[in-house]
Amino acid sequence: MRAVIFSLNWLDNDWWYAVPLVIAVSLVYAATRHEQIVPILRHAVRVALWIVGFMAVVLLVLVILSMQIAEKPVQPSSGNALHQPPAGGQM
Amino acid sequence: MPEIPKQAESQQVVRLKDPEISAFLAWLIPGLGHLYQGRHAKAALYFLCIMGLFVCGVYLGGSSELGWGRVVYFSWQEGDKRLHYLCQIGIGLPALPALIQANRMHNNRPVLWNGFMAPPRPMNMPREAVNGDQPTAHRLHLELKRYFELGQVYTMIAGLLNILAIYDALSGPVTPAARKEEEKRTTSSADADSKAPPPTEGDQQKAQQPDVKP
Repeated sequence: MRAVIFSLNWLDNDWWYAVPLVIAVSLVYAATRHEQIVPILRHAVRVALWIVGFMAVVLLVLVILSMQIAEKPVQPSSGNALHQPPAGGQM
Repeated sequence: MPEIPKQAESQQVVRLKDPEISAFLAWLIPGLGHLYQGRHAKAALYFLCIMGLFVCGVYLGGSSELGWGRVVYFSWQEGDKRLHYLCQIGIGLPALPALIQANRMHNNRPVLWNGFMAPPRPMNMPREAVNGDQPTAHRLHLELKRYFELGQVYTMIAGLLNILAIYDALSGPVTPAARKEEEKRTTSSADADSKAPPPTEGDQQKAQQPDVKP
């Protein structure tokens, strides 16, 4: 998954699939707020920047969370009765 | 149906011709309602953005081998209740072939157009059945990989965006609360000015010009 999302080859990056979505969503949203093309385009740029910024913040939070989870070593469960030594030494 | 003038930005009046008919046309084909109302620029913008997104999704969610548009289908069977279609149907006519295909599949009649927007074959359907050559949902996910999900998201968002376009055809541009207040103030001051002498022809021409900044 990491190889696809953070690929070093910029053409091979899944983030490109977000570009048409951001463009279409921002243009249509802006078009429902204005009637003329110039204000629509201006508003669309603002909306697109807002969406990209919001996505970047969410990505940052997810990356930090995943790094913390990955670094935390898995503790063996101590309450497992099967792995506990017998109480009275040899049975 | 009477035309409803709506005061939009910069003093420009938007004539919403037959709002209900326009809303239906906007649902049928993105931008058609606006074209009917004479709002050509917005019609082109809506058509390009929404149809472009939908066509991209149909392309991503299919292949020449499996058939195109496999991500847009309707199914209401146990284990495959297709709620995604509720979003996709927002785009209107372009998503309607899925209903025809689902009906044919349900009635054991062969699906049309090389399986375009046809539902996948249920797992319990034998290969000898009428639509036994259709791929299962499992095979679609296996062969299309993440492009199935991407196509699904594209087509669903296109359908949802068209609902915004339908609202725009029905009621005109959404006016923010601040602008509404400003309009209210303008209207109240206009009422107060109504006692004043009527404006000259030159003043009326100035008021009609849209205030567009370069």
